[in-house]
Amino acid sequence: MRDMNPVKATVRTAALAGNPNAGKTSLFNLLTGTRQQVGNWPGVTVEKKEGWCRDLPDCQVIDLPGIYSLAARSPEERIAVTYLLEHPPEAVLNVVDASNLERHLYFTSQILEMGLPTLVVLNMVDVAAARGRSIDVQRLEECLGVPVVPTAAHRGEGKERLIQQMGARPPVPRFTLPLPQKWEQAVEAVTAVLEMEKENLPFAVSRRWIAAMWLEGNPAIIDIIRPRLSPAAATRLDRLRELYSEAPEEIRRARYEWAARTAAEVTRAATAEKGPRDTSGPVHAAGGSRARWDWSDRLDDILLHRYAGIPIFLAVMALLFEATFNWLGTPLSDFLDGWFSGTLTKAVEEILVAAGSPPWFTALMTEGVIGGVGAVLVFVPQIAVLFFGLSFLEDSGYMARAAVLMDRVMRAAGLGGRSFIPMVLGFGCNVPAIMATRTLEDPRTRLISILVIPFMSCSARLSVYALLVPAFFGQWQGQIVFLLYLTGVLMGAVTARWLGKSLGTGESLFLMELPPYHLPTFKNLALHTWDKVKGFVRKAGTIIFSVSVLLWFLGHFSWRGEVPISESFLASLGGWIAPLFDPMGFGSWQAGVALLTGFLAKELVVATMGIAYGAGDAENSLAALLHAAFTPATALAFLFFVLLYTPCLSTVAMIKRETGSWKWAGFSVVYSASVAWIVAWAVYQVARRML
Amino acid sequence: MRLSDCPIGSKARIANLSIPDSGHRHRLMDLGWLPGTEVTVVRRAPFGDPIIVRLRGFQMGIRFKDAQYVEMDDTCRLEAESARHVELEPPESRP
Repeated sequence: MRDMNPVKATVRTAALAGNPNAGKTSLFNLLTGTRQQVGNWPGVTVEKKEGWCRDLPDCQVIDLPGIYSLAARSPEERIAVTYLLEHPPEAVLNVVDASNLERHLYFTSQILEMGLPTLVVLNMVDVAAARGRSIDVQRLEECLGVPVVPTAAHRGEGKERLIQQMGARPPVPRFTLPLPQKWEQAVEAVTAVLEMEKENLPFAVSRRWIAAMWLEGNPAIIDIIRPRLSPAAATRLDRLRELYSEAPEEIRRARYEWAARTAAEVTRAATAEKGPRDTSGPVHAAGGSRARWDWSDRLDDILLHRYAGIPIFLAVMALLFEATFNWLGTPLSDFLDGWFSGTLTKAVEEILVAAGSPPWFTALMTEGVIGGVGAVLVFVPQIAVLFFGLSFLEDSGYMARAAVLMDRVMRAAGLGGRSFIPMVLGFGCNVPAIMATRTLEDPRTRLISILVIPFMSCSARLSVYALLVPAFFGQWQGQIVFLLYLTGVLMGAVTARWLGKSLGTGESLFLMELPPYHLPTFKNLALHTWDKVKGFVRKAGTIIFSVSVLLWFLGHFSWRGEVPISESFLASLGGWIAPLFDPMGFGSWQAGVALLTGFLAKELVVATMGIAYGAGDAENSLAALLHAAFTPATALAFLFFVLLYTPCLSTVAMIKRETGSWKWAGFSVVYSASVAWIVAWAVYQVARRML
Repeated sequence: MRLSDCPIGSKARIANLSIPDSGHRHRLMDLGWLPGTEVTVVRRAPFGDPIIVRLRGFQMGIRFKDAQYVEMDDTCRLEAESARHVELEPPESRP
């Protein structure tokens, strides 16, 4: 693989563009491996996936959001279009699904017209071949006028040629979409006006592309171009758009006609030459749709079954949480916990004592750092299992089915199936979940989804449940955790309905592609999981580490110098807020301070309790110490409070960023804190009579 | 005949998209829904909604409400009638 001649880097930025489900992420992983990072899109502070190409020195690969069209309507599409227009990459890698050529070529025609250096990556050739279709690459190159590289990214095939083609700078396409005469004239008329305005339009993309997008009614392009035009030109262009009011339909039709023609041409030619490599027998590439009823459809017969579909989905979710808590995550966590509080603490203590460290420093290291950071790091296995499962559901194609299954249910809450995927991702971490709402077109539906996501219990809150639930509710562990998740979902539904009623939601169109199922590769799942776990570990190493050290000092000192913890700064800080929680029965300074630091990051609740209750060695495990501080009723109230209260600082910042206003971030903080207080109080009142 | 009335297993061409919101119409077209496109009704989700269809070689879910705006040619009415006679497909609950 590596033995080819090093290619001289001529391309420094390459952007991956293509439809969702084209295998863009697989290709991105193939090109960059673990050399990935999250950056910001220029202008907007929005997460951008980028990485360094492993085989081309100094070549940055950018993963654009997967979109169906450059006619941007959702925020995600706007990001992609704005990026291509204002910061054109040196090469566009248009990823095309060979097994679904027609629709993907529609997007290709838009990309080629832009006139940026382009390379077409014909991905999933193996899937197409399995369906009895192979594609004449040479013929396709002739049709498109740019190099076409066949790949099977999830198997790692085709990488060498792709690297070679990237090294030789990809050509600028000379592609013109064939249009009927009337529409050709319309495009030329608009291009002529744009030509006169060229000083105002310093873009690398072709003016003909801008003209076509203008006539197609591309909102993002109109928003970018219009303010730059002279008033006279703007009026003329608006008039042309009114004059050719059929253009949005007619240009789209011409595009699909071209795409269908091209797809048929390159596919048919190949079938005639080689014939299918299908094991299922006779040629049926162009034949009846019945013959293409493959195993993916048979799986859908079960998973989308009229009666069984929703129960199966609930069972899948239950299975995921069962695996996270009972089968894999918790045993591994317990093992890590034992190692941290036993072996590691003892070893660190011995080394420090041998090195002549003063007792206070030894205590800081064992109680503060290992007690705080360790209490958080033990949840890495659970978080890894959860994210691995969620990635599996997403990559396999099941998540799209779940969105279809849940559409009716979500509509009862005033949302729709599209909002469902961000909600499920919220169980992992609220921050990327809020970002995932960018696929939603309707701004008010998006706003409501953003405000509801914090009620989806994220994996950081899981650390609190994993600590308290086994300690107090031995035989009912699973049920209590399920009840917590369910309460979060219900609060989300109630909130969505209420907000939907008071804000109103726009009429949204629900269209969800159901890609054929496929078995995700372990590599892609592992990379995705690693990405998330890395973020969690980094948080443990930075914010949680520093807060733990700070808390340890606050816990050992007051104005009078070194004091017992109950008289420390920490105790007075917690004591100041504790009365708020008296009605719920956990008005202790330790709980108060844990909830305060939990606002910085929910993992800190556990870390703070570790320090505040003075855990840190095997005999005084935190769980044992908690028994002295909580009753089952107060523990339950505390759990509900942690579930619902104020989103963590990163989430609040993300809400501000994505809604564009502090008003909604502030609303979220106040609203969720009030809801948490009321629910926890009610839970305590019921629980103390029952438990 | 509207797409929302086409039975499972039937196949017909789109005659017209009468969806009022132009943005929604354009979105449908971007995804390949154009007059003349052949659409097969594959199945329905629980509660009969959304409807899952196949067109241009891929599958997609569309809500019953939106499918009411997709007018189909007469082939699917014919198929609906013959299906009632032959019972090729499991009986459909009327929404």
